[in-house]
Amino acid sequence: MTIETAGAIAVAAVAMATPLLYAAIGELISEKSGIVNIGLEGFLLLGAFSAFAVSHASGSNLAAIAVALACGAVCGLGFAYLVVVRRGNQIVVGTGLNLFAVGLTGMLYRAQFGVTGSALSVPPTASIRVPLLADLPILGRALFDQTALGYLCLILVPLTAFLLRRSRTGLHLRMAGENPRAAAIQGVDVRRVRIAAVTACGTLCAAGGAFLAVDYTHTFVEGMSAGRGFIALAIVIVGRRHPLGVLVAALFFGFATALQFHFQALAFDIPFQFFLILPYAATLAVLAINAGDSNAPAALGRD
Amino acid sequence: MTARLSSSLLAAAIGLLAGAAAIAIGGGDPITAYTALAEGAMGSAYGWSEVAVKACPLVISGLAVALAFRAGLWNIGAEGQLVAGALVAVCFATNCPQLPTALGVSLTLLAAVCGGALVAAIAALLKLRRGVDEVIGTIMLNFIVLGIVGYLVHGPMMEASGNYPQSEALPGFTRLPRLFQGMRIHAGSFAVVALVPLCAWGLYRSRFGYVVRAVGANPVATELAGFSVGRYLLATFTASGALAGLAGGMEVASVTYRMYENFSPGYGYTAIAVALLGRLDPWGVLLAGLLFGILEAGSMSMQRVAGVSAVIVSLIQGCVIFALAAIEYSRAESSS
Amino acid sequence: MTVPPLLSLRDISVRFGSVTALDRVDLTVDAGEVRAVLGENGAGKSTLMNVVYGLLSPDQGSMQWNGAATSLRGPQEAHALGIGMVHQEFALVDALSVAENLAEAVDERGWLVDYDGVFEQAEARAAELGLALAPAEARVGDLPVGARQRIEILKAMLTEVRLLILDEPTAVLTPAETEQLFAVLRGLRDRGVAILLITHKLREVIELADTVTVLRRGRVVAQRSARDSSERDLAELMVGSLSPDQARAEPAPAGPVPVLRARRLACAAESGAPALDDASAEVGAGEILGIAGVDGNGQQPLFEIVSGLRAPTSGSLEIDGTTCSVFSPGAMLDAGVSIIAPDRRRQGAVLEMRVWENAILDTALLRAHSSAASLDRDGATAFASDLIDRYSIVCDGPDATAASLSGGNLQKLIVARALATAPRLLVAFNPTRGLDIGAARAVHTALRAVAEQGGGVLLLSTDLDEVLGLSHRVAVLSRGRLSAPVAPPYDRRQIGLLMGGGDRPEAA
Repeated sequence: MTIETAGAIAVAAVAMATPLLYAAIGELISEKSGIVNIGLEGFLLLGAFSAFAVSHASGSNLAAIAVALACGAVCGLGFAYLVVVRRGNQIVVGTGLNLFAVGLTGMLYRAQFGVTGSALSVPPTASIRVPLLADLPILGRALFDQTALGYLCLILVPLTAFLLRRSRTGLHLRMAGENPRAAAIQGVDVRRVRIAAVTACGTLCAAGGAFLAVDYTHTFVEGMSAGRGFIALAIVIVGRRHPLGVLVAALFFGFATALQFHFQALAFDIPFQFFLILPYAATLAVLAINAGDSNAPAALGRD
Repeated sequence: MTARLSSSLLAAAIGLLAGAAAIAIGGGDPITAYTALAEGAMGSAYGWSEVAVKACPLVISGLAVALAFRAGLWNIGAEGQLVAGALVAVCFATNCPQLPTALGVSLTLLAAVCGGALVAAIAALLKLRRGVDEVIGTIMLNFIVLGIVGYLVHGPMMEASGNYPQSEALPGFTRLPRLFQGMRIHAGSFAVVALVPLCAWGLYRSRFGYVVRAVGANPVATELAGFSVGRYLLATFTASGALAGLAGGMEVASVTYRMYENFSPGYGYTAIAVALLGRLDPWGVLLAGLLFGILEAGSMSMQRVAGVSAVIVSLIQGCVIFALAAIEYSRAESSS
Repeated sequence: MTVPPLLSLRDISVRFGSVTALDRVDLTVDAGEVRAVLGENGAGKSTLMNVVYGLLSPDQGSMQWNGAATSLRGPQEAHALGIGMVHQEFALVDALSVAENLAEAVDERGWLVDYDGVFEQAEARAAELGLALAPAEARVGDLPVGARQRIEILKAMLTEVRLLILDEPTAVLTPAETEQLFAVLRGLRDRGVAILLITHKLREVIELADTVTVLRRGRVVAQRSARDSSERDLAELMVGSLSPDQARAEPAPAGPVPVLRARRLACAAESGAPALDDASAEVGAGEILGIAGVDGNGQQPLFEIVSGLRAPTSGSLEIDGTTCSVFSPGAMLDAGVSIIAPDRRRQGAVLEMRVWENAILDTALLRAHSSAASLDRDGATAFASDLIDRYSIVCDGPDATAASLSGGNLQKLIVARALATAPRLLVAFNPTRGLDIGAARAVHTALRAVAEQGGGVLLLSTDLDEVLGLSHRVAVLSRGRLSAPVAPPYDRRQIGLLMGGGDRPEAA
């Protein structure tokens, strides 16, 4: 394998990992507060479509990303309303959100852009190249020649870790997810904390979707989230609900996906579907070996 | 019962209204669109035949989901179980020596039942033996099954001509007969009509269904009453998978005749909406499956006539689920 | 002019529906005083403390703080006055560290939490109070229960506290931990903090308290100096009259084998719940054996073993002469044991299902009301109608949902079902808790009926009147140990002493 190939795989791996990481960090925050959100797939799609539509209409990817984030926040609030305020079942509402997003984005896409055979494309987002560092072999281009959303995603990991560990909001989040009764006795407004967490989750997911559409593929395809929301769900478990663990898991699964594209070049004799299955099989293996999701917050998923 | 029926009707109405709003936002005319949809599905014998074709997998997998939910099992894996059923059915049918049609079809469907049951049993054992939450377990298995299908149809199972990534077609003696010339409605519709009362009997009139309902509503009290909750959960999960597998087997033996990637347009996920809208009741599932069957069947002509994408049906399903989730709670509030 | 008491309650009454939990209660506490509030389960102690802490507002009566009339609308207002409470069920987050659990209890509230600062502050306070504090990074769930309680106390004491309420603080502690706790509380008292100690343990009152208020059935029956009291006096006050209770039925002639024979049953403690330690007992055919005791002294593990929910770590259990090898509810039912579980809504019935469906919620009854795979709905409905008539269960017929039944009628249904299999042994755990007199009487009649028909009854109850009024013999569970049974006429004072953990061989 040449250094060029390795570099290309690294670029693809980081790019594949970015939307996964956004969604997984969002899910991590939501789960820490006690709410499981299996609607990540839907949030990714909504973010991707809104970014694409705005970029196509305005030509500004900055506006596109801003609108996508707002859209994610609004949908996150809606999700929070149903599960926290109306106390709807979290699994049911998450399933509904996935269906809803497929329908809404697909319908609007065809209404706006018709059923053209060729995919419409939007201008690519400018990447920001860090001088010198970007010239490093293999990882240089992958890490230091990215779009703003790409860098932001990497910053998000230590930031989330810091906020969870050191901030009062982080403490309230963990109290709400572990023992809402004790949290309430100590004056924590558990509902408010959870609504905020779910809204943050929706926003981050939408950022991941926006990255996928305007930064990475420069287009929108119906159902383009392609199971990434569910991989993110898996990443949170495999990453043991720690931001750094989540980062490692996301990069690993991003790498596994990236390898598919370079298959011919690498001439491995493994069917590429193996890499498609890998995240899911790894998650089941981790859960089975650990006898369940031992580090899940104690109140996770309870209504 | 009336409260349930009325909240289901309300949820369905909210879903249709949300769909209308989305059509309007997308620049379409909701009335034209819905009229085209209704005429497409219900305006002709062909339309009704398509409704039946679409409703078959939805009703059966809806029953699968309803059964599991009744036992308190969050089986999100009907999709994977359905595809696994179809996959095993194809494996059997394309390798089976010539048999009389009745036997060939029965064995093909039986193979599908086994395939779905197997995948569900894996999720059940992971839950019961290793404490793996069934929501995560079934979601992961869905994608694992899809990956395996992808591998097989590109590799070992690919048709001999090698033109497309799909399996060989099912031989004639394993296909469910179609009922009328020029229409796709097939004998499986009879099976569905028989299955609903059977499930209703099983749930409400059989000993097993009684315990399943008790386990789902209160596992603690049921265990104390001497029933082995774990065994019932395993059996119910497996039966749920078997039903989903049957849905997949029937689809492959009567509509597609082949296995390929994206074989299921998300039947297993729509099944969750069907089960919830049907209030986890077999007859309710039949009605909800018919409603979604009408939407699915009519959506194509809506797309043609009114230019509104057929995928809007998913949006309606999602909104129905939201409405049910919200209504459920208001009812719980007012009764307490 | 005299200094007003720190806290003074006058004429406090609290009613829950038709039940009067507190009936015109007076209570005063002075600064630097340890006041014990003594009483049996259900005497009204916790209700009283919830009033003081602002969790409940009384239906009647007034409260004064430092001589000024006040009324509390919530725990936050109690905090503001300087009232802290250590709940019996800790308000700690197990998965978080010690420092993280303390962070919400300090005054400063920046958006970042200075955990080191919080812990330093806590450590200083702990040193002042003489409390040993676990390391800052330790996960609270991994700490022994005594250490967790110290964190809970510290949480209450990090801000200025003038009155500290402790709800049964020693229920989960070892004797050594109890000693440590008492030393801390004495230190607090010497610094002028008032302490309200809720307890049912006589020795603690004598040892620690300055004054004692004894509650019985929601009323104050005594207010006196603790030093001038003896355990015997207090036991008498707590459990009521000294007139001996007579069991109302004579013991039935015991069969050749007792229906229950428990030998040296033991099981390990589970997350704070006390263990069962070397418990032996026999229940003869036709006999009601009452197990008296205060909540949380081993009733739960004993119940779980006898109902098959868990296996003992050592010891053996025989039902009707057959040794149990498999511990599951199904196996126990097959052996002839029927259960009346303490939590009727969660453990005894499926509320979403109908009365007739609940009437056959039992492996044997279900078999009797089904043929092959098919449920015999008519038979089961007729069966349920019969139970409804025989036990006077008030409901909208067998098709009503169980959720629509009142507590008393639901319990009658559960009892009726338990008796329908003609059990060799009936295990009843707090079978009348929260029931009105009529329903309680019906349940008692049913228990006697089992004995009269030659079955055995194991009655676990924290209601002493119930135990003494029904049982042919009575044993007492205290700290997981079961005393030797005594026969009527019962000496309430003696039994009260045993329940209060007094007069025990190992305590001497």
